[in-house]
Amino acid sequence: MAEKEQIKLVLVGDGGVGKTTFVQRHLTGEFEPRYIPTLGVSVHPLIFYTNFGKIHFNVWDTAGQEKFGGLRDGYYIQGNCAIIMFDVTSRISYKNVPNWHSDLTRVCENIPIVLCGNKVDVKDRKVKPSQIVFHRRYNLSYYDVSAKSNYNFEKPFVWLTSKLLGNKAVTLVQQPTLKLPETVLDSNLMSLYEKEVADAAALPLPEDNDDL
Amino acid sequence: MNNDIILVVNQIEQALSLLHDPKSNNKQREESQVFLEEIKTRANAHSYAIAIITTSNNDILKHFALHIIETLVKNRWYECNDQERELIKKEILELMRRITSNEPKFIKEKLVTILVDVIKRDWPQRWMNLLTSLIEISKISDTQTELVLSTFGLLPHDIIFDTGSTSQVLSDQRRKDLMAGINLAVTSLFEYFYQLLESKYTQYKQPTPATTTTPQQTKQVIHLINVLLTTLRSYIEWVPSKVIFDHKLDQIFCQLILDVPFRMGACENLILFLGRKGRPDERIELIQTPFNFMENFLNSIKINSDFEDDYSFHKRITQALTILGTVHLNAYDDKHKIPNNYNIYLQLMLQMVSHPSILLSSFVLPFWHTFIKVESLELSYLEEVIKQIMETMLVKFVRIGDPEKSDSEQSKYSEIDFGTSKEWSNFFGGVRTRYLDIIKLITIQRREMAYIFIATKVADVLDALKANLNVASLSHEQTLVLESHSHILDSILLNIKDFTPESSLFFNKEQQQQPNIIQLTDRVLNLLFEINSTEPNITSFQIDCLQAYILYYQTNPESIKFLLNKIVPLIPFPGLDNPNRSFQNSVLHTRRRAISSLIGISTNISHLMKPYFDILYKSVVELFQKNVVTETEKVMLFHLLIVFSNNLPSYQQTLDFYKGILTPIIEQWVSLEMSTALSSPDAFIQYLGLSIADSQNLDATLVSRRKNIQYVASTLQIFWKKSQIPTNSSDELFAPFISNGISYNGKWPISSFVKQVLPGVLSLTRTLHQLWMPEHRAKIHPSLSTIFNLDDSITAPLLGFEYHKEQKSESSNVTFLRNILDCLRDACYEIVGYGFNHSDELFSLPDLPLVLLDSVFSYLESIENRHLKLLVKHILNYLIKNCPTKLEHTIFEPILPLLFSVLFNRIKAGWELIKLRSQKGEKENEKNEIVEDKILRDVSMEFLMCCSNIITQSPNYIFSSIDVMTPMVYGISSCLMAMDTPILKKSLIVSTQLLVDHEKVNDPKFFKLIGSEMFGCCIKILIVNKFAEFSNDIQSIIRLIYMKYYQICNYPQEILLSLPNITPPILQAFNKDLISTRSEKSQKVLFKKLLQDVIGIPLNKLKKESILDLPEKLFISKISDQSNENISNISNLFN
Repeated sequence: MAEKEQIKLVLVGDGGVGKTTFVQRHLTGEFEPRYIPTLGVSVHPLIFYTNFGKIHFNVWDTAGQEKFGGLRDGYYIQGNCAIIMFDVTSRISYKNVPNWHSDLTRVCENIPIVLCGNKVDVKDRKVKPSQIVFHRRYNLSYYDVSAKSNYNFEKPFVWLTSKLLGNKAVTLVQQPTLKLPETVLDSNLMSLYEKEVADAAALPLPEDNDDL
Repeated sequence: MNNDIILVVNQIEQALSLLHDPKSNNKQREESQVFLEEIKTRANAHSYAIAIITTSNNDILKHFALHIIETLVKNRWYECNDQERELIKKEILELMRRITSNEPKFIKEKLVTILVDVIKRDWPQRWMNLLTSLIEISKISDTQTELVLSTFGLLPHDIIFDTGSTSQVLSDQRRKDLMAGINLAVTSLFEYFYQLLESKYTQYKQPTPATTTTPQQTKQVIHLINVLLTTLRSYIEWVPSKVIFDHKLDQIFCQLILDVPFRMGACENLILFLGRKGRPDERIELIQTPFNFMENFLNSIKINSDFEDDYSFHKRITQALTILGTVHLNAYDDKHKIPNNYNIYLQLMLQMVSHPSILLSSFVLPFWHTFIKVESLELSYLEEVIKQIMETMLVKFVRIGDPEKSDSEQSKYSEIDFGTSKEWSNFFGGVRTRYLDIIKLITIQRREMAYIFIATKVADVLDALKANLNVASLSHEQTLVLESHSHILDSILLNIKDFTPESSLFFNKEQQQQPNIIQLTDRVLNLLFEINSTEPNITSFQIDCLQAYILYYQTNPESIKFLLNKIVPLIPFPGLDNPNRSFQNSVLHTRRRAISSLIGISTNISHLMKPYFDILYKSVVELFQKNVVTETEKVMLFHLLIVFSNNLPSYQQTLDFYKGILTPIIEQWVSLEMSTALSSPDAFIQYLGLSIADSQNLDATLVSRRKNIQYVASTLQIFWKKSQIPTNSSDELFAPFISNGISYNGKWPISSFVKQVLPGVLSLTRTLHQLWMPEHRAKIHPSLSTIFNLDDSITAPLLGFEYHKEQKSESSNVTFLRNILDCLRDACYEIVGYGFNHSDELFSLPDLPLVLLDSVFSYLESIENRHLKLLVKHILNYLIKNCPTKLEHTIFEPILPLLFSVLFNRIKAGWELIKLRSQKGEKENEKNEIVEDKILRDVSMEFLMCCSNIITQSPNYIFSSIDVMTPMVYGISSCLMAMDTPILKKSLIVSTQLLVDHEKVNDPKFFKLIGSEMFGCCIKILIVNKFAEFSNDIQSIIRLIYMKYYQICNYPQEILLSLPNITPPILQAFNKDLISTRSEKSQKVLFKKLLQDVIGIPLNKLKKESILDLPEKLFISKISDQSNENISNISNLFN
């Protein structure tokens, strides 16, 4: 794919599920906990470096609330791919997923779509993983994500890229967020300590493992 | 055209161009959006729209024009005059007439959406000839046909299912009008649908010879038929079935599944058709046609076109078939009539349940579950079908198909259905449970058949293993196959034992009706005993299978000898020195499986194992002497011996046994070296080398000390936790233990526990608590400072990351030390806690409170919340539950005020921090935020459970002690204010528990505490109104408090008077009404009326004095200071 080409990614879902928070994660790395409804649309460029070169997504972060809808499905025109987001702590936001999917597919034909359940870091989860089945019916992909902890942030984009390129071997050559460097240990010493860790990990008895 | 309109249209076009241009920045887009929004609000906006759609070739511009009309229809339709509405309707139909096949989909879809929106508002009363017009329009060309069909499809969908994204809701009357109109039209509509389908399908199958059909034309015909099928989906579920049968649509759907372009659409309609609601006889009628066309279903699955398309269709057709079969099975009350082609149907369902896709095969499970459950089905081949089901369950139980591994055929399908290994793993786990449910059902109905099946399979596997004993190692998939076999064997035998009648006779050689079961079992067990393998996974499989046969050992105790001869030598299974880490781990698992299987078997049939106790004991001693087991395995072996000792008939034997086993452990525990190390943080640090830099060349002595201290503490813990004290013994040595005039159940077999074990436990606990104080943490070498942090294996899952041991970035020494500290703390807490549970000499200590305050309850100012939680869970709850009533005052008085104050302060500070964080949006360290929030929630929950226990166990005490009630009530109030669903729910329960049926709460010393503080908190929660579902519960507590206090003190009234809209006259009238009201229901009504105006009022709008806040910090008694003075005398307590 030529570097100059840009991919229009439409981000839809109920108001308050965390769409804007999610997309801002990549740009600034800052988490915005307070909820500010999106007016109409905000377009955020997101760039990923893959083994197929630089991929430039223009993420069209749309308003989820009716009164801030602006052109509503007018923003979907010429979309190349999409993310439908819901909040795992809000059952109604998942129930509305079919509506978002319907609105989306009326405008965009045969584009790859990812379903994302956001806020999985919150323990008071209402939509359990076993209850999330909509994506299987329409061959969408599904990912649990969390803007708060960056969990699975890049995976929807990698999947969409692989679908657009028609190649499943898409991988990131540069992580969007940095990880701490690992300590390098001698292999022989590692074997010794691995045994110690295995012994220690076996205690206390399994029934107590849930204690912090 | 008006020049002004032209000008505005050009401006709109420019704005849209800027909006959609990838090169535009957000400011430009925002300006465009502002302009476009303003355009939509103009009174003559529709004139711009009409101008655009009649002249423009810009698709995006036309879409916006349609959007303007859509907005007008949805938001201002009834504000328009009749002329404007007629004009818009006319233009919509004209646009439909003019539209060509070149129009993009989003234009067509938008046009249909608008038309339906108008229909929902004006039809049929104000648009009577609409249907006729639409049918006429559909004759213009295929493009118009498509639009009309889409309109007919969307209309009932919006009306009946009301799934539009719009927030508008149709009024009931409007909905009735629309439904009446559709019902009247349905006959003519279906006539139209049928004729169109017939003509188009004929065109598809038999192109007119006179003309040359182009690929484009064929494609268009296919598209149109699919649009029609999609439209029909909006009707199939609810129109009278007569309409469907009259047009033979059921047969048409069954025929179309053979055509690749139409199979999915036909299948969707079939699913809706079969799922129709109705009386049983109506449902039976529905299923006849599909069964008659079963050959078509079979053939449709054989078609190969495109892998993903085929797979999508297979999933949907499987769902249709499942509905078909399930409807049939549920439609009869007694004897089932077998439909046509049922044998073909079952073959098809067997094929689907065997499909490599885990998702597709799971769709069939509801049918098979129902099929097996139905007992009135008369099929000559029923047994054969069920055997095949079991065969399939066994194969499907093998855990392969991870979408991220691409290592099997199953993965091809998993990659389509599941995005991550985690998602697939969760789904697979759930499906496995369903497989086990089916196996359980089969076992309960046909236990002999189920057992013969799995035992034969296991025997075959064992034969194969026996013939290939020299294999170097098993592949991963082979290991999984073994695992599935042993798991299902265990499941079947467990189901036979627990859920079938007279299960004890199943393996009885004289009683079993089928001799081949005994023969087969003998074959399996002999093979299990015979095979000796150096492959740990094979050995683990053998152990698991042997453990599953507990039911057999119960009936044939003579086999236990062979069992022990087989398993005991496996405990020191060789291979721990193998350089392959994976092999090494497998060996570890095998060794521990051997021990845990013996524990499991011994626990289940303990009385039959008695003859072998001596042999087993000697074997364990020998293992220890040869030093061929690790410390972890030693602790597990102790657990095994404890199981036996718990069943010793004689108190004297129990006593001798424990002395024999524990003497070496206790000697280490009380040794000068160990007791010195436990006595102070400095000694502890020096003993374990915590002040020395982390190094790869750690001194061997330090390593040995670290391992040993963990081993000794864990051994004491498991003995104390798992052993049971005999309560009915005729031995002379046994006597009820009497202290302080209280009789206890029994005396700990080793009477020296308090003198030998407890001092070290208490010292170590105090040392660990001190270790967390800043001045002692500073003594730890910086390279080891992270031993005070939570391990990544705990925090990573909470943060949503995958935890991998190989990815740890810290030294193994650090991890090991952290584990040691956690294990030591856990051991100490449990030993003390279980001491209370055992009703032992702990309660006889004259200075028990001081002892506790000087050890487990010491230095609480620096204790972490996660440790505080364990303290409450393992010690405080046991203390409360087991404390004799006579000693409550003596023991609780020095302890509970301190503990509850600490808990209150932690809970209040923690939740306020969370609230502050969410309000200000301050950036915090996210890792700490998530983990600490969870820990705080756990602490709060443990505290509430503790309160619940003490209210239940010791009501007389707590209601006589203001020093305990004060921090307890404040703590409960803090939990009420936490604004967390689970915590609020639990705290409401505890609050109710405190207030109901406890007359002593009326004591004047609680007036302010409950009548003001707790009452005020409940009012505040009601005002915030964040949890609407709990409003009734909160009001119940408010009512409870008020009813108790309003006539005997003024505190609740003062709280109410601080609220807006509640004036003294209102309150006086309320009180007067309350006095004359007797029933609880009427009281609730009065309170609800009084409080309804304050619910949801923002706090900053309160115009009166604010509701009292909880105190920042409760005064903590200085008992801890006193205990410090007695440190030097602690050893005297045990003299």
